[in-house]
Amino acid sequence: MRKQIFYNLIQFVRRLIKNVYLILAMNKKFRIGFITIISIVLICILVILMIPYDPSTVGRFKPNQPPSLSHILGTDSMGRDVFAQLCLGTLHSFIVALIVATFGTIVGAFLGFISGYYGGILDNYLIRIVIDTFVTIPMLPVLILIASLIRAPNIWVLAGSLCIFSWAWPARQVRSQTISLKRRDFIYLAKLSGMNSMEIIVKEIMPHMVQWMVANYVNAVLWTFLTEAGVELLGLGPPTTITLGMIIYWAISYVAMLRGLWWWLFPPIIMFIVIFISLYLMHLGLEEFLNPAKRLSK
Amino acid sequence: MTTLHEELLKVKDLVAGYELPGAFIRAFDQVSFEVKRGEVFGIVGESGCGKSTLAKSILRLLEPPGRIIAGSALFEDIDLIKAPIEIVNKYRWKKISYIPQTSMASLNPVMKIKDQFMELIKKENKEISKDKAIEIINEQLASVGLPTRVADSYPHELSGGMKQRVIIAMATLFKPSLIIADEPTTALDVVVQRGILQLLLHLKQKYGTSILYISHDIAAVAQISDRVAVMYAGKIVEIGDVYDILKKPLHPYTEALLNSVPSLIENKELRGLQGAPPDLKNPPSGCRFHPRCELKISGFCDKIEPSLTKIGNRYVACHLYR
Amino acid sequence: MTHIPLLKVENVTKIYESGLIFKKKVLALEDISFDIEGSRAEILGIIGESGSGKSTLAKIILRTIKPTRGYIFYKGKDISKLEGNELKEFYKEVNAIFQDPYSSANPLRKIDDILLTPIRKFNIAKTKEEEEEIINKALDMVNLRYDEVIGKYPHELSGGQLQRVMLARLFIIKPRLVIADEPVSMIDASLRANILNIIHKYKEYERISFIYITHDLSTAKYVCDRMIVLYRGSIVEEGPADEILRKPLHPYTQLLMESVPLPDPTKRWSKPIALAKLEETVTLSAGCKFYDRCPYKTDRCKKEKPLLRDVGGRRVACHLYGA
Repeated sequence: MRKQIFYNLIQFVRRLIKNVYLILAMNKKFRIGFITIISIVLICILVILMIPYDPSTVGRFKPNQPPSLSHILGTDSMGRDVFAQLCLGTLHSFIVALIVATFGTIVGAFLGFISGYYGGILDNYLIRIVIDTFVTIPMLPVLILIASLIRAPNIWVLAGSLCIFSWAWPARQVRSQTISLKRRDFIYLAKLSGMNSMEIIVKEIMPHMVQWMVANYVNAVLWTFLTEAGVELLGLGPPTTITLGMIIYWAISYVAMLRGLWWWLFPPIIMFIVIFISLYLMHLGLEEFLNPAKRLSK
Repeated sequence: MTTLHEELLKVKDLVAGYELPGAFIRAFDQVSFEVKRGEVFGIVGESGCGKSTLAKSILRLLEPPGRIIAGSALFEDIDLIKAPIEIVNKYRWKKISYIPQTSMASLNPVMKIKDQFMELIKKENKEISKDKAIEIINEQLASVGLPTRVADSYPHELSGGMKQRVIIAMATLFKPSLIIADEPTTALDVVVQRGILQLLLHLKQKYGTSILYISHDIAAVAQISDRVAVMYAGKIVEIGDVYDILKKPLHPYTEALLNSVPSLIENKELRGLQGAPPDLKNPPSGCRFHPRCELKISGFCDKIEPSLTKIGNRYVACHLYR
Repeated sequence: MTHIPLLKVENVTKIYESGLIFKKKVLALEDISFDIEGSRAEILGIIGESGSGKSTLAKIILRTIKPTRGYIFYKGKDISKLEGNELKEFYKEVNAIFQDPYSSANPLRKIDDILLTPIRKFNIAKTKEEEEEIINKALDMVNLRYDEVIGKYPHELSGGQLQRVMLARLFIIKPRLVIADEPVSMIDASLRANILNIIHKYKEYERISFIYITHDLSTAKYVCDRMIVLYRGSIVEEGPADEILRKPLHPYTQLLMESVPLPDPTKRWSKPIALAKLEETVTLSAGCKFYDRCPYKTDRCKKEKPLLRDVGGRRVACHLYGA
């Protein structure tokens, strides 16, 4: 049995890779979004590797310098190179997004599946209420609460708090998809062909899970990006770590706009928008790709 | 009986299909037929023959990736295919009504039946008094055998058959001269189906409404049609008077369709067709039916496509009759 | 020697309750009893319209839902009490084929699995060669070629081909009883004959019995030996299929027969059906369920529910035939 599960996990990953390959080839929107994001990430990594110093160190350079040859995007009011911060901040934001999205998708998918598949008391009273509660809890007040309780919020606290909320939506999605799948005749026929419950879950339902999880993952990343930035803009973010949201926060705190320091405020905003649009394109592409209509063209 | 324009709808060489990545697939190809005033014209065919796409195309209801690429549909004095869409939309409900395949789903679930009627009535006559409108609604409901309480109901409170009759009542509100009914009795019980079909016949007899009746059920088509066209893989293979065609089918596919209906009376052996409907991405060469035809002439039927030839009172597209 | 029927449905009733505060009860099935014999294979038709309870009955026999009252006995054993190996045996002997072939196949897995899974799970083959042989034979039985289906995904086959794959699967399992829930209603008319002929073949040569559930009288006539007509959860007529169709006794069966369209334009419906008769408007607490729509109704029908009685070789529930 253990060998079965292992084998099926391998199949799962292989199917995942094959799907990603397929959608890249077939769907323009996804392709554009994906390539943009990958390019951005690669450039940022390259830049950070080339810089010999820590971009977050205050006072390294002359502050408030407009873009020049030595500082492509100038410097901010704390004497930091804006371009270096942009690259590091983007990477940090991405890391947080990936961690939170991974956690949320896996935990959410697991809980959603259990709730949907086994139903009964477990589903109705335990999990469903929990899921719905988390979906409806207003996130911001809770995050503010957490931020105020912890003296020195750092990036991991931020990631952790976001994780608390990240699993609820995927859980709901996967739950409703499991329920509709359970009703399909082929699940019942699997039982009539001699398969037991565990085998049915692994062989008949898991392949569908791949699709659900991929769709949910991109959404989760998008959500995390937005929420993280929102939290940071409100001043609840980690003051010593650089993320996209924090750059914007500092720029606003130092009234960059009125002081004419456009090179501090606009680049992170533009970067944010570009990332957002790319992720959204990926999301749209995925929706198109996963639509049953795609089967027609096969 | 001759009337001023005996032909009410004249479809000529109509071609439409779907734009898919890499190819345009023709759902139906070079379809021509006429519906006369006061007649029920049946189109019978199985899945994939293009009949639903045809129904939608006539009233320009085909949504992307569907597209009409050639042909005309003359109705009264305009060509429905080439006229501006605003004019065609004006004709809808008033001169031509459409009962789609999933018509039971086209009722708004959050509006009462009477309010859905109101929307239609107000579009035509904004100033109509509420009382007069209610009178019209009740009249329409009565014409399809529904009690007035239906007006105050929501769609989910009605059964499938009742919802379908509401749709028919709405479709006949302005006494259109043509009703296009695409599988109007799907998912309905056989007794309710009979009621609906008899209702359509009644409309023809009382108001002279023409009906374009599209179905996969050749028995239902036999019951109410005056003339009939048989479609296969996007083409019309036989077209003519219903008595001629169903009593003495000429095209092998028509005959196969008739042989597929199990008899309630005799104990005849049922013989179906081998194979499957063709993939319209790559339709068979020559006659599209030849891979499944028992009477095919090798070297001929698979190379040359037969065109509709006049045999007596009907047209058949088959090399057996030339 | 008393023989135990293969399947015994005894006084099965199913009531659905909905709503938390104001509970609404729907009587889906009422007091259904019938047997499937064990000594020879037979095809029993269950004819009913939507709302007749026929799908509910199928689900109860297949153990998907539990009856509110009554029992189902398979080979003498109460099926609600089966577990473990006995349950697995039950699923091998009582199997099913459903209405929508595309819902019956996992769209993400190849057709091969549909046939391989029962072979492996029920240990039908000992070697890989035997597996191949069995699959080939099963496909042959349903007139499908190996290359037509193997290696393909469900959406690459037509409804008729896919349904035949489902029948090939049944040939591999060789159950004693198959619940066939509207197996041809989603298949094109010209492809139905193949499937119906295969079902007939299975009964004649493989000794597989069927409970053939449908709303279509004509296909029922073609395959069924016996028939049960359901109306709103109750049996109204039961007996040999040919006889019922030759001379239907219950007014509902008569109405059904008359309403089936014939593919003959010279034989059209003669009398128009009163549209109001199409829906039942009143649910009577007592009396016959068909009262509202019956052309022969009497006062007695309004007050007294007719019981299923033996009338000349069949059972009918109608006051027209009985003391």
